[in-house]
Amino acid sequence: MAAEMKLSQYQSLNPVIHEKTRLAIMTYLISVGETAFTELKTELRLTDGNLNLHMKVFEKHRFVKVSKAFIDRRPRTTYAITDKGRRAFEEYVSLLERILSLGRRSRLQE
Amino acid sequence: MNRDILSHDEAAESLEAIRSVLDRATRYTHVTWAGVFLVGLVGVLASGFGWVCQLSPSESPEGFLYLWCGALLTALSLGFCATAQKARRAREPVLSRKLLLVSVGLFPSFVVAGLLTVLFADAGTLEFAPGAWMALYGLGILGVGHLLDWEFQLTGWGFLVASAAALFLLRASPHASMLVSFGGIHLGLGFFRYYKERTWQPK
Repeated sequence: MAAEMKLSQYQSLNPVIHEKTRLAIMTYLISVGETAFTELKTELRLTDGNLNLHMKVFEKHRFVKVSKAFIDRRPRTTYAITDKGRRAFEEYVSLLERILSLGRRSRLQE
Repeated sequence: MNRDILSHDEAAESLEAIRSVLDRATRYTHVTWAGVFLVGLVGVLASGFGWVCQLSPSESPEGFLYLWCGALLTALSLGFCATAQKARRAREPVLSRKLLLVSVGLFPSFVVAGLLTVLFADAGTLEFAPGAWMALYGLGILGVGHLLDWEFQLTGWGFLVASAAALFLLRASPHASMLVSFGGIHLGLGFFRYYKERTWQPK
């Protein structure tokens, strides 16, 4: 029974967020708010290519909105979480907490 | 093993990863090794100048105050320029939310240091000022320690130890205590940050 519940919960875990690097990016954006590409890259210790790849996935699912501007004649790209992205993240964390509480209960029953 | 099932441990691992990123997200990392090093250099030069010119707090309080007020302004300007340069290189705003948090956290220590300095000068007991400055600076750093890397917290404790030494052992040698604390501790931190920043490699 517990395993079945775990399985159904896993299937509803959002695969866009569940990937380790994307989870870190999402958490950072939720915590800090609008963040520059370079800050994300430095703080999460990612390469340009790697970060670009993950941001494209977020953009495709409309979890982040991108803003491009010129500051001191240099291009600056910033990302901010959308309402859809925030909801998805909250659901993801809530599911993780439910799995943890389920695991605790199963262990207590054993 | 069925990999479709997310285990209790994997869920715990994901939550731990979230906690770790949240912790990193609040940390201010724009303090550069060059900025800290320059602040240390200002401390060393000011101590040396004070010693050569015999600007002791008891015999020439005005000269001593002018010297260290000048050193403070120079150090703050150099530190800010180095931080701004790093932010510009990273194409990030200089006056970020995190810099504001650190500045607001340090501000009370600077205000109290200023008030105590006026009080000591009025009472003719300026020889207590270096120890008080070190204690307040150390407390200020420890107050914003949760926003900075661990070596800054160590630096805060270093200033508290230096303060005790300056107040109880080295009161007659203010230039030596300032050399060791505002000069030496900053130079040591600068060297450490240089090593840390140079050896860091992006994944």
